Amino acid sequence: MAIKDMYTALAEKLDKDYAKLGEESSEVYKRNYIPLPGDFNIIEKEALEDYEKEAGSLAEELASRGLRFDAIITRTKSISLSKSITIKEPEKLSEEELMLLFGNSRSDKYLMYVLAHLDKVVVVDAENADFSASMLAIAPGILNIAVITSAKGGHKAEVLELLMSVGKKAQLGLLNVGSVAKGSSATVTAIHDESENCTVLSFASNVSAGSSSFVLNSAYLGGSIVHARNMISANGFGDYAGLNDMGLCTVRQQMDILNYITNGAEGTKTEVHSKAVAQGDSKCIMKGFAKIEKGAKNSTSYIYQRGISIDRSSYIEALPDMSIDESMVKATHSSAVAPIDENSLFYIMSRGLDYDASARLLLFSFLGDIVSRLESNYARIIAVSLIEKKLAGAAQHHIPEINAGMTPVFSKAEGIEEHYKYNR
Amino acid sequence: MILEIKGLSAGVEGNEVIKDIDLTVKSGEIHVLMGPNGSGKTTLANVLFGNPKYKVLGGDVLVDGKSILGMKTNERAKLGLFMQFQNPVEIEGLGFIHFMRTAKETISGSRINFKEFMDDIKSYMKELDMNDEFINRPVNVGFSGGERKKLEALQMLVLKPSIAVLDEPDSGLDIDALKRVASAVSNAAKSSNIGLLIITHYSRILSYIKPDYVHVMIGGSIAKSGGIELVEKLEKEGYEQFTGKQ
Repeated sequence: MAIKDMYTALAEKLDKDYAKLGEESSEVYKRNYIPLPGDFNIIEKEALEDYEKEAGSLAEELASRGLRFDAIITRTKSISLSKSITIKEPEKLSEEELMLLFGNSRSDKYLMYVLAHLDKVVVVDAENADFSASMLAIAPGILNIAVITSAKGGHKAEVLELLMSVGKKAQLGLLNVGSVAKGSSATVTAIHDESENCTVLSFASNVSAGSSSFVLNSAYLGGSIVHARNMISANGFGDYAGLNDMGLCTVRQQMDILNYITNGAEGTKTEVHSKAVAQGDSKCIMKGFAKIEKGAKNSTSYIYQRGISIDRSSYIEALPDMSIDESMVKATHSSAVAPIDENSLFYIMSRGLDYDASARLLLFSFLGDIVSRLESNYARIIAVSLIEKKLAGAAQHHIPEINAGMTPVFSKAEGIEEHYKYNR
Repeated sequence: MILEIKGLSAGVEGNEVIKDIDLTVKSGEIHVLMGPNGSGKTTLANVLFGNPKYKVLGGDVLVDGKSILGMKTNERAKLGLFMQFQNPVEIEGLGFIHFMRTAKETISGSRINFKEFMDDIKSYMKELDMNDEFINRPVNVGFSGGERKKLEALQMLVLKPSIAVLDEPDSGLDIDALKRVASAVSNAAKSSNIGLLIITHYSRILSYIKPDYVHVMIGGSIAKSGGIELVEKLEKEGYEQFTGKQ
């Protein structure tokens, strides 16, 4: 069967099946579920052409502000400036690539939807060298994309994605797939800065082959509703799989984020670090699930979740869960949600900052812990800029401020103190 | 600057902790407030800085003749008041330099030269015998008690207030560190004309900082004020002479 026919058959089947499925199978998760609007996938088709123009203008504005990307993807227009990034129509994927995309397709009904309606597939391949790439994806009304990040031959692939949207109503679907060969590593950082009327569907999965590492960093800053299901695993001896994410929810935003990690082989390590801030009638559900399979001896698994709920109208729930089928393992979780710390506020205010500035600094620092986990300075700068803007304005969908002349210095040990401002 | 505490009474959670306190501190003067545990010393410091957990029940606090009780904590800091905390909070993710630079620019109301700022910090750190690595950590995170006290002293040196209230600057410090911190604070007070109100249980810090005035606080009130001779008396007779306990 031709690839096009295979894709069409798979997509049609998923499209047919997904509508029949319930939204959540776990009872705990059902009680803490943010439903998507019934019409999330209905976009005014007649406006799509105008939205494409709007997306083009936004890309130009970002370029004029000094942001550079190796690839830009919209619904109908895509460009890659790098030989290592190929943008494909879903019907032109290889069999291996189709397997990567569809291998985990039934884990969520909305993942099935995204796969059935894929617009573009981005393939990033670091076969022969270490590789770092950045891409911009703008949903002109609607956009469903998959990004396959492939690292082989002991090399390291690093991908930064900035995700935005335009249009009166928007929907962005994203599936990140990591394919990491033995001794190789891949890090994907997705910064979501969609417009305030956008439904965000975000997914991740991976395959690993031993002594490899796959890390997904996600910053959920935009969108009206975020439905994220990141399911990654460490399936080869000595593999590492990590998920770091932050959700900054303001002005009635709703985020439902599930991070699911699996230790599938001996000597593996998996981690989830999640942080969320909610204010202004917004809601964030952080779900963290660790699965240690039988045979995954001497493995470690860790779920860390922290939330700050700013006001009485906002709500955060942290739900850690574990399923352990092997006895020789170390599995821990730590979750806490609290209001903003009054003692810390008093301390900062005693150094001259007013209440709002002190609160912003505290929240910025709180999320800065996740920012400091981003390996790429470029990603940190964009994330820091967007967080600062969002905290200052309590709105979304900002243009990140980038100074082309800066030499950012930033390390895990230093936290946020040396961020780009000091190098201007 | 003149800080005047007039008939101040205040409490926390419905209990009156300090009662009818009168005290005046001027820039350049060094005052020491001594007293046993629970006598209200830290409450006084918190009330002076408008900690919302504490409630003023009577009296007034004036800076240069104007009441500051209606002012917020940050407004009091902008006036030139500084509080060194007894138990500074850990703030995960907030780099010390970022914090101090923001504070310095906020208090001064203007942008600062970053290189000069860093040169100053490094020079103060040398004076305090602090490892360079300290300022690369988030504020107070992973610090020992003594290191935190040094970091608090460093903040005072950087911000150069007019009057600083130091709440137990000596606790947690070993003998050498105490000498370093006390000398640095004392030198800064002299060179920048900073008024100090040092809250302490013990007299050992006074071997390195010579106070102009000593006050003894018992049961929420100032039981006695005097000069350095009062410290010598306390060393010999303890607080029992004021509490009446034998």
